[in-house]
Amino acid sequence: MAEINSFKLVGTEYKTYVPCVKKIPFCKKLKGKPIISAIILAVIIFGCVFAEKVGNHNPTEFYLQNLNTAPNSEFYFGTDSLGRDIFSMIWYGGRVSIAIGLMSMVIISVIGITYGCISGVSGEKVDAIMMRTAEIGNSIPSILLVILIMSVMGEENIFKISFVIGISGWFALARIVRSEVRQIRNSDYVLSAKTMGVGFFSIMIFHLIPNFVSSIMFVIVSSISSSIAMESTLSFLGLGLPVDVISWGSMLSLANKALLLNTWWVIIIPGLFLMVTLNCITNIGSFFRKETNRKHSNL
Amino acid sequence: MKMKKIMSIAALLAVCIGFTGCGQSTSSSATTSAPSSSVSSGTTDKTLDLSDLSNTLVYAGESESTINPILNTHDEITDIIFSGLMKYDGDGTPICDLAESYTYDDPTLTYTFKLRDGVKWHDGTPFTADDVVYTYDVLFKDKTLSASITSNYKDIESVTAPDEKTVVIKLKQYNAAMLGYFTIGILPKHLTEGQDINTMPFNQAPVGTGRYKFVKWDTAGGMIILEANKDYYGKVPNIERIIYKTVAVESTKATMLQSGEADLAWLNAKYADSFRNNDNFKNIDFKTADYRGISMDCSTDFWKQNADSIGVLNYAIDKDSVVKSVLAGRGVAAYSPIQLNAYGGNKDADIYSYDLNKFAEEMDKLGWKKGSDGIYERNGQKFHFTIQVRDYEEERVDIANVCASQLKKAGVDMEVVLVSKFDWDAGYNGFLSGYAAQFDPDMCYSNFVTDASENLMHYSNSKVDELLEKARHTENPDERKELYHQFEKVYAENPGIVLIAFLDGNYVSIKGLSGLDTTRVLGHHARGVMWNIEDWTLNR
Repeated sequence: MAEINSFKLVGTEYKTYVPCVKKIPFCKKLKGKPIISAIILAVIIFGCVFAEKVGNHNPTEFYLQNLNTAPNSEFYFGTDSLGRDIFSMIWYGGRVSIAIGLMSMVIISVIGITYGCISGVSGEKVDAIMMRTAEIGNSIPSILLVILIMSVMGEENIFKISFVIGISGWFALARIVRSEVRQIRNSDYVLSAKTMGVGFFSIMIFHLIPNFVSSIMFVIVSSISSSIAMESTLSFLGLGLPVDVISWGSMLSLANKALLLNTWWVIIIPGLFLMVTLNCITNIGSFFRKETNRKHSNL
Repeated sequence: MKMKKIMSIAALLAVCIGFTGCGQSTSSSATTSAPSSSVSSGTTDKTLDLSDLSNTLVYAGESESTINPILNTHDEITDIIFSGLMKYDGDGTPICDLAESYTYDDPTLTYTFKLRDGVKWHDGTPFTADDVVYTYDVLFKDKTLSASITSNYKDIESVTAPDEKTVVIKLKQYNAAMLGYFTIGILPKHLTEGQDINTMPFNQAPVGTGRYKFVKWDTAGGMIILEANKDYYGKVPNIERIIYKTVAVESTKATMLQSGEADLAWLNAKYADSFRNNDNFKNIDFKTADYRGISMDCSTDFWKQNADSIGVLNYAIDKDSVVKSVLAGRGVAAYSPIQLNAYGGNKDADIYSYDLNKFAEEMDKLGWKKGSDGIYERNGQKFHFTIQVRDYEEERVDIANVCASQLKKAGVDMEVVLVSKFDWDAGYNGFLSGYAAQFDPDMCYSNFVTDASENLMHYSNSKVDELLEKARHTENPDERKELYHQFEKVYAENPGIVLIAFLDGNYVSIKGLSGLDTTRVLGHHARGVMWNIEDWTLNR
């Protein structure tokens, strides 16, 4: 009977008839989407953006009367060996870490997509040279590359460190973009645009990118988390941001000290925040991947 | 299916445990077999057998680049490889070492040293008076020498050796601290003559007359290996071998102790505290004369124009809370560079107290006005200066950061720049310094007198010059004390260093090490702990 209800004879009014679309309930829409990750990430980002409101102490201040205090009602996450408030530092530090993640992501995307598109639409030889170059770059361990560039750049700040992470991390993206572009570059719409004399960048923005954006979404999203992780690694090694700039990485660089002083909260809490954030981002990224994979299997 | 999984995990675990079991048994068999092999090979064997550590002390020390008594003044290692005419005893009084006896003739200002018989360099060559003459000639004649201690020897007129066993040192004028400066290690003439003292390869393969002899510098492994000098003229040390690991980072030293990679290390107060109440370790707390302060480079433009505003910074720094926090209470707030010396400690020199109102008042008097950003300004110039701190010296980094934050609150912008190596030409306005005058108060002469050899920061104050000059040439101890008290006061009024705190020397060792004697007041970097190393015993 239900099937019969799905069919209706509309006769001559077929042109104006609007079929009643069954409303999908909101909770069903959310099914399969990474809601928990999204909510946690939103909370963390919100906290970082409004760090002034959320933090209850000055993150750069040394509260010398409260050294190495365990988490309590005044210092929610405790203090380190010089009396800095971990709770406030987390939010201010997260701001820096996430900003670096986003900025690096933008740099990676711009370079990676442009490079990939140029390589994808170019002739065989240029393409080969461009791709081999990218592969060589990709084969060098990125930490090595980053340290090398950092030592040349001199004094570090947030922008420089994002730039360095960005320009040493776009190789993988360029390769994916290039293989996507290869598939669609001979499509009729690209050809017709070309014959009409549309410039390369217009073709890239209006024809190429919209057609592969879903398949690189995962790489782009996960580049945020890998950039945050890279910054933490560098700061942990003492190669990243100067000491007075708080980030999750520079907070973790206190871990060695804390380990000796048995102050677990100095290590666990920034580590936990970092881990949770990275996990959420990865979760969201892998959702995008699943989505694109499903589309392909639909074909 | 599940059962299979559990089984396979169990099997994996069993294999792992089996392997570790094997690992343990093989390593233990290796250590038991090692002594026999080392006995058979003896000490003549050049390939060192480091598997037997039962009588080897592993010391986590500072990083080294040269071992030379004239160039290194901060390090333990030169004190045990080399020896001087004199040495300091536990109370810091100079006593005879390479000299068997000495006489001083007051009217002619002449020291005559009788040298010991049968002293040999570590390479077997006999030690003679020529070596002494050569070393002192280097110290007060060699113009290319870039050493920090040459100012201490400028009162020497001549050093001669009438015969092989006698050294005569004639002074230009009386110098109260001279006998102490004769403790400087003697260099072998036959190995170093004619070479550039600053760069010669000898500095990496030293030969001395001291209690331990240099064996090998393993630069890749970061360790210097020393062996007890069996031909030593005094008591031959009980501990056969010392492995001096060159680590600079404080947390690494603490980790090494914890993991059993080192037996003895000087740690900062906080790390040392983490070993207290641990039965496997001993805390040995020395007193030191080592202070930390913010030294201003008076030759930089900023301080040339604002030298009058260094002392006032003392009002804005809560030194007691720095001691309580960074030094975990193991130290004392500083007001004078020789405050803990027997000749120093003039309470009248303690003219600054932590008082922000007073600070604001004094700044006003000096003509500083607060700008819109809360930082003082004068003549269109912000009160902003940079200091450099080595990044691996955690205690100094912490002191610098805490002081910077306190100064900022008061309206002074002190920028802390972390460097991996001090750069004196980069134009930093100062550095977080440390010095000590643990023996004679004259040890501060080279720091504070205009153009003296260790006056890195180009401090110059004619009144200070006059007092320190006079004090070193005064014989009567009471008069000297009076002069040093005056110096402390004069210096406090116009300082080049914002003195912060004196630290304790917190050593931590494993339980089995004994014999360390805390009667000695240690120097900079807690130097001097090995003053009685021949009496130490190690019982693992």
